[in-house]
Parts: sequence; structure tokens; C-alpha cells
Amino acid sequence: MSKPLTNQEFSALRDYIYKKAGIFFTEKNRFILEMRIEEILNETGYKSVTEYMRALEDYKTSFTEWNRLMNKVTITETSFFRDKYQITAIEKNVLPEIIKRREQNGSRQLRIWSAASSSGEEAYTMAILLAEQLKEAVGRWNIAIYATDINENALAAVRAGVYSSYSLRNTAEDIKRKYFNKLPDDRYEIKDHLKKMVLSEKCNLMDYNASRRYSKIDLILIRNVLIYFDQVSKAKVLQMCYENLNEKAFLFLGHSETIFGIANNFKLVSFVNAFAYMK
Amino acid sequence: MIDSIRQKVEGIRDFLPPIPLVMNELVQLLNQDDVDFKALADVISKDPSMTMNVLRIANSAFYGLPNRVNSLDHAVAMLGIKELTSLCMSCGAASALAPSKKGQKTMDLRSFWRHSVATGVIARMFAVEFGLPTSNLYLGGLMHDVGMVVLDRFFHPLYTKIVEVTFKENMPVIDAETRVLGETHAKIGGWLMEKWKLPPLFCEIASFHHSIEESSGEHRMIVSVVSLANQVSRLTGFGFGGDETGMVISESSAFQFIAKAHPNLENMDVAKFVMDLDRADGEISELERMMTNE
Repeated sequence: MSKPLTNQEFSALRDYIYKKAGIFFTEKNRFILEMRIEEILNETGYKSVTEYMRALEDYKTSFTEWNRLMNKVTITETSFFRDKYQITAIEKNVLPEIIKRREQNGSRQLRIWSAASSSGEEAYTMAILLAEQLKEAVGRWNIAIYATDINENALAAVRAGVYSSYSLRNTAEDIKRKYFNKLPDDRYEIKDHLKKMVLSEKCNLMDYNASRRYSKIDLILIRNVLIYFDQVSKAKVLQMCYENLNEKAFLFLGHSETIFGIANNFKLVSFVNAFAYMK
Repeated sequence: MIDSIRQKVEGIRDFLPPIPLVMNELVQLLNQDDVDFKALADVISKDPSMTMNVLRIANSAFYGLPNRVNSLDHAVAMLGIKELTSLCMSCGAASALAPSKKGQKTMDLRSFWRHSVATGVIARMFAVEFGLPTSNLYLGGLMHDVGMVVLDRFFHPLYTKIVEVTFKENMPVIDAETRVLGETHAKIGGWLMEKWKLPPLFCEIASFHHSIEESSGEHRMIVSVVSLANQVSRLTGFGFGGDETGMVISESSAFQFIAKAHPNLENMDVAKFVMDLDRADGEISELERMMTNE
């Protein structure tokens, strides 16, 4: 059982995280922050939240502690082929469409951005879908799938590309055989030719200049992330995404997220049990 | 090949199934401005299962009536004679279109009726939301795709091919029909509605739910509502025939036509509205079970 934060500690920490990362812990999610901060205090030996906050501000320790804090509070569980309706929409409609468009203008280049990639399941799912769709032509395409996250542990997992069978619970057997090497400990390692498509980099979505590096994108996935952001930060991130997308390119959010009234420049595209937003 | 198909399609007109007797009498009532309750009760009494089904639907969540409806008199008082007549028609629709020969190969009729019921229910929900009249919408939604049943009945192998092309190439069904057959379920459905002498509203719904701009000014609003409901029911998982294409709902001609008359539609959170249609799933399943007599 974690020690509850005092109201003052909670709001100080909440506001600090919000200011730097745009992630807002509501009262409802207070327990998550309490749980994580207790882990941090145990790990580091800081005696109180106040002391830890001082370490966050101190230039000698702030870099390490800020990364530690982000690595703790942004852990999200994900899996390959998560949300079958969105995956079907991407597979049957979005990828054929962006491939066709790129072929028409003769560029043979695809840029996909998994903008809060966590451990990379989403980015590699896109790599698998492209490999399936382009078949032997895949080698003739210049494919960049950016997997970015604020959490360094997650990025290390993307680079390792090793997953538990639980992560692959929605993955068909033939896909497993085709694109993974089964390790002796029952885990699965993504094959090298897919690893090469995925580029993992650290990026704080609230950092506009850093995020704008991912420009001319054909498909952005930022699923189940904006739920942790307040309206103002959401609007900022969505505007950045809008600028990063090619004309008529697509953005996917989590299946029950809507951006109505926050970013009205996108067009809502309805697929079977799934939505996308188009520039 | 296409020429002989064309002839055959043209020939469908002559071989369209005749309307069952009770349905025919209901159509006559549906065409009258003033329906006499006794006349309706007489017609319904010829089909004992119809009364039961009508009362079941009247008491379902679909109408959400405050009190239990126990008799036809009561149903008339609650729903109005026009809607009740329309409801009786909808109860007879599935059996009127059931295959005549036992064991005949057909398309998946269960998903077909599920899609049709969902379209009717969603059309009515739209109308409630937009403040439009709701009468006849359920029947309109239920019958909008009848042309598919006819196509399937006369050209089962070709129809199977159409479904295959729709799914494999992920194109709208209407495009697959034009490519494979040179004719569409909308046109053929319109022929059937005319042959059965249904009121012009229903002929227009069947004929123009994929091309609302061809409908008459008088019925265009209702045709648009059914057209929109047809797409939305497909996009909420009540699709039929393999079409998984995406669409910008707010740019469809049906949506734009309705929005012209109801500017508040422009400010609607379409995503939320579509997601909230989950609440209709129960009603759709309930009505579908009644429809297919389970």
C-alpha cells in the first residue's frame, strides 16, 4: 500500500509533470502517481516528495530524476494488432490508399509515426502490415516507421524487439512464424528486416520543435495517449500532428477518443467500428 | 455475356415475386390518407402471428412506450394508425421475401435482415435526434435493400461473385454490382416496390438510397435519413456484403442535404453520435430475432 501524498505534495508534483510533459494526473489517477512516487523514493533514498522535487529542480540531478520519473509514470501496456477494427481499417483502407498515392507521385517512400510507441508493438505491427501488403516489393520501398516515446526503458525495448507471448496474444500463428524468431524462453524476437524499418527515438510530444522533426508523415498513431493530457495540451499536440502530416494523410487515436471541439481542422473518416482523422 | 445479363435483369421485372395477399391489403391501406381502424384490424386478423409480432414490437425498447400495449386498439392509440400499418408490413416483410423453394441456396439472409433492421432502427434514431417525423422510417429502413434479395434469388452465383468482389477489392457494393452485373440492387429494389404498389416514398427509398439527388423533393429528406442510416449501420458493424470502405460522413450528400435544413447538424460530434449508437444494439438484436422468428 503506497503512502498517500498530501494534497499539497500531489498538486505540486502534478503541476510539475503537467508543465514539463503535458500529462495531467486527475484525482481519479492520483493513486497511480502515489504508487510510482513511492517506488522512486524506495529506489533513490530520497526521504520525502519535497526532497525529491528539490532533486528534480537541481541541475546536478534533474536530468536523471526527470527521466526516472517519466520512465515510471508513462508505463503503458500494449500488444501487437491491438484493436482489431482499427487494424483492419489500416490494413484494408489506409495503407492501400497511402501506398497508391505515393506510387502515383513516384516517390516509393512511406513515413509512419508511432508517436507514443511504448515498447514498440504498434510500430512493428505497422511493419508487419506493410511487409504483408507490399510482399516482395517491400525492398524497393524506402520505409521509415518512427517509434518515439518519452520513456527510455520503452525505447530500449523497441530496440531489443523481444516480446512475451502475451504481447502476441492477438497475433496469428502464420504471422508469428513469418516475422518472429521464437526464443528458448518462449519469447519472440522480431526479425531483422522489420527491425530495420523501425527507428526508435526519444521525443516529448509537448516539445514542439523536437516533435516537428517527424514531418511529411503518411500515418500517425497516437492511441490512448491524449487521455492523459488536458484540453490545452491535447490541442497543442493535435496541431503539431496536423502540421506533421502530408495532405490527406491519416491520424489514429484510441478507439473511444474524439477530438471534437479541440482540433476542428481534421476531417473525421469513419471505418467499420473505427475512426481516423484526415488532414 | 453482359448483354444476356442485361436481358435477364430486364426480365426480372416480369418475374418479380408477387406480393402476398395480406401484404397487398396492407399496402392498399398504406396508400390511403385516412385509414379505418376496422379495416386494418380485419386485415391483420387473417394472419394470427402478425398481431402477436406487432404487439411484441410495440412493446420493445424501440418505441419506448411508457405503458404495456396489450391490444391492437391500444397500439393504435399509442402509435397512430399509419405507423401501426407500417409496422404490420414490416412484420410480414421477411416471410414475403423468404425463398419459395426449400433448400434453395441464398445469401446470408440472417445478416441481411440484421443490416436492414439496424438501418430502420438507426434511421428512426436519427429522425428523433434531428427533430424529423419518424413514421414509416422503420419500414423504410427495413425494405431499402430488398433489391439484393431479388438479385440473389435470380442470380445467386453472380450475387456471390458481387459479394466476393466487394470484399476482395474493398469497394462499395454498388460499384461491384455495376461492374459484375451492369445493374444495381437499388434499381431492382425500386422495381419490386413499384410492382408491389408500395407508396412512392418506399419506391424512392429503395431506388435512391445510394443517390439521394435523384429522389423527389417531396421525399428527399426521408430518403437521405435512410441513406445515412444505411451507411452508419454498416460502419457500426451491422454491414452486409463485405463493404469495409471508409467515408467522411459529413461530406456525404445525404448528410449535407439534412444539414442544410438542420444547421445544428454541422455542429454535431459525429464520432460521439456514432459511438453512442451502441445503445441501440439491444433493440436491434431484439427486433432481428422477431424478424427472423427466433
